[in-house]
Amino acid sequence: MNFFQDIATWFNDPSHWRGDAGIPNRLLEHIQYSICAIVAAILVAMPIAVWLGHRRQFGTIAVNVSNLGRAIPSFAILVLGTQAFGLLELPVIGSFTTFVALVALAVPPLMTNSYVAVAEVPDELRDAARGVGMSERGILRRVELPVAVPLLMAGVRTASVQVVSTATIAAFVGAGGLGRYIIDGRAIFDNTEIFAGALLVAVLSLATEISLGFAQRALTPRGLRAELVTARAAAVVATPIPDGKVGL
Amino acid sequence: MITKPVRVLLSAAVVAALLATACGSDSSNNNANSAASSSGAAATFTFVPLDSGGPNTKAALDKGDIQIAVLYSSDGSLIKNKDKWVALEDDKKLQPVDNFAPAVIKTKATPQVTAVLDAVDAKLTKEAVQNAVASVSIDGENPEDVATKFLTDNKLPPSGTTATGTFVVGSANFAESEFAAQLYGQALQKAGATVSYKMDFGAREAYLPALEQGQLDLVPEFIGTLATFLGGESSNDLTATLNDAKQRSEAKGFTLTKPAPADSVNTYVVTKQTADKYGLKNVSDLAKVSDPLKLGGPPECPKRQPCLLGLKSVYGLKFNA
Amino acid sequence: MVFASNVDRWLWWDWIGRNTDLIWSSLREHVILAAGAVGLGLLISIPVGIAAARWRWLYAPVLAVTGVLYTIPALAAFALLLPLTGLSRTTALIPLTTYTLLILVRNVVEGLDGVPGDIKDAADGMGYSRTRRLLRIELPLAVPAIMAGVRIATVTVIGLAAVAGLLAIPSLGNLIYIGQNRPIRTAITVGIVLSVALAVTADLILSLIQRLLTPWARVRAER
Repeated sequence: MNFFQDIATWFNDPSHWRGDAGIPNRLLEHIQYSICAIVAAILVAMPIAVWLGHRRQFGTIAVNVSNLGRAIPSFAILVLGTQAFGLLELPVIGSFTTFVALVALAVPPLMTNSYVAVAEVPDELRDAARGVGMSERGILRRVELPVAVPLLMAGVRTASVQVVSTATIAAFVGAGGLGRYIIDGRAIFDNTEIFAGALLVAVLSLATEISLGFAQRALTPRGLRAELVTARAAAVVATPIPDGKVGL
Repeated sequence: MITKPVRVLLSAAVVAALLATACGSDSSNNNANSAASSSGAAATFTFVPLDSGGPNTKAALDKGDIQIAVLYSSDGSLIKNKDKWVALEDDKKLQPVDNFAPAVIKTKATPQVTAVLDAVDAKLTKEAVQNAVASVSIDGENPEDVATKFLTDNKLPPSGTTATGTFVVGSANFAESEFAAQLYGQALQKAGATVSYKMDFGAREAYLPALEQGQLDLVPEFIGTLATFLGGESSNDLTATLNDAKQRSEAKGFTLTKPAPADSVNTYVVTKQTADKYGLKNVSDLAKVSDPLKLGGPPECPKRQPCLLGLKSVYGLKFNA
Repeated sequence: MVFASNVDRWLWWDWIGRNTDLIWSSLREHVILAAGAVGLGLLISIPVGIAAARWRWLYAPVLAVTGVLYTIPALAAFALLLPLTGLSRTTALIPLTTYTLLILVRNVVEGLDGVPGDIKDAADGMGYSRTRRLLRIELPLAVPAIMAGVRIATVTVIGLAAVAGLLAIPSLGNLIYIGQNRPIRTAITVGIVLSVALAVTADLILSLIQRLLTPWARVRAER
């Protein structure tokens, strides 16, 4: 297969490993855009969803509104963002339009998972905590959140994988990241470069999925780890696969 | 209930995240922003990959994110923004010619038909095309109406010209092509021919075979791109390129009539402020600029002769890409 | 934006009026793409899911393969298929279908797993064959889980099909692309609004279908 030889040649070319357009730099840019967007989305979505989950109120609204957001194409956000902000580059964050599109992408799964995670903490646990005289804040911090960690982290995993595979859109607005290979390859009809870019993105997404899986296990309180296998959440936690792919 | 090891892990994760973010931003900063203005000697410009004469490039030029934009000479926004933007003169003739010309089935290109088309093309100047494209792309008018108005304003076809025959006119799916197709078609119709349209035919890969097989009789073309598509070469010599394109077309059963003055080639655009600041009128003036400007264009630009390769080899500019 | 004129307006009814054909055909193509991708996805996922539920060792590799397919950026998939399938519906349908597989297969398996053991035992006791038990008992009981997957997959695919517009494949995305390229803001607005409306409508219709397909769930809820 000639095509696969071409791919191997592409990856063996030392010029593809050097400088601004080299794989290491593009990879770092890609990780930079992704991490900034995920951290921001967590800061936006998680406190609200966790609080609503604790109150067990407005759940349907929160979940439905964020599901609606899933139907807005990231591509549309990108188009609108460019018209509004141009190629605005900020320190740390990078391309602002990309950042907005990625945050909007990450919020729905984070919102849904975080709400469900806290709202589904068994009543017996909360009642027991109230019984021993814990404050509401204490219940949230010391009972609900630790128990909710597996599902919270499932949301972070889902959102992260989506953001990593969608951060390719940065290349649309003149920024970097692994999407550059896809966009630049397309511009000169170079299928080898497109495929190499897609391969790199897929590998990075898988690496994100796997490493966050380990983080999820590590963060889960020890007492819950065994129980997890039997819990209803097990299906979600064992295969915390994106529940909706949105983006490019 | 958050145990110590969990807390340690959490903070480790946060630190790792911050670190990754920090190194990421470092490396991206070297890209563009930090290229300090070097003193005196010609600066190294930065290339920013955007879109092919598209909205991102124009928005970036307007917002000052780039100083030089690669646009098409037929772009309507050039005439809409003629008070704000300056299109630099290609004084060293880097751009290969790519003028408008109708491709017509050989048997239908009678002297009368050719006379009508030549009369239309004579009036089709760069400004005329830019105005028409602006009406279509920017004001959202229909290409059909814009073409009708153009013919009326320019008293086309000239009185005394007549044409006979049946024509199916096709077009590609962008404003220039749709407008030109309507223009040629309506002129022939006014001169007496029977004309129908198959617009939005898509890419050249789709409409040229249709022309060869006789499903279409007339399609607006660009002589340089056509010559290259048919396996020839476009140069900055109009006659040579036209002859080459014509010869290759006639082997396929269609021909080209006389090209219009209007063309659709890369043109380098700066804002008026930038032009005044550095005294820019021609592309060659860019060689004297000592600030590290940014040039935004299509992603394929660094690999193309009429774009970055030519700016380096013909105009002696320096780029980081 | 660069110019102040009609094209800057978010809602320019005149343009909408003149371009109803384009808008309708974009919407129609978008529906065909989304319905086609989810339909094809179901055709593949149901047998694969049944197999994975019966032969457990299959499940991990199936999830791995569909998971890898899922991480391929849509734009790259479209761009790579272009030389093979051209500017056609097929070019958009292939990646969209592969993206539904992960969601659908997982929900099929989960749905089949969720059928209580005593119900299966009862069916066996009544002399059902394995195939008959699957068709008459297990699959119907798995409908809610499968439909949940179909709903997620549909909304996802409606959002993703927009990317096809970048390649000039007709869809609501193409409307957004035209809006960006000309630029006519109204086209962007119409594209987004119709995309969200389509997703909401599809989700509502699917939840209705789900209710109709599972009358027993309603009875239980009413008690």
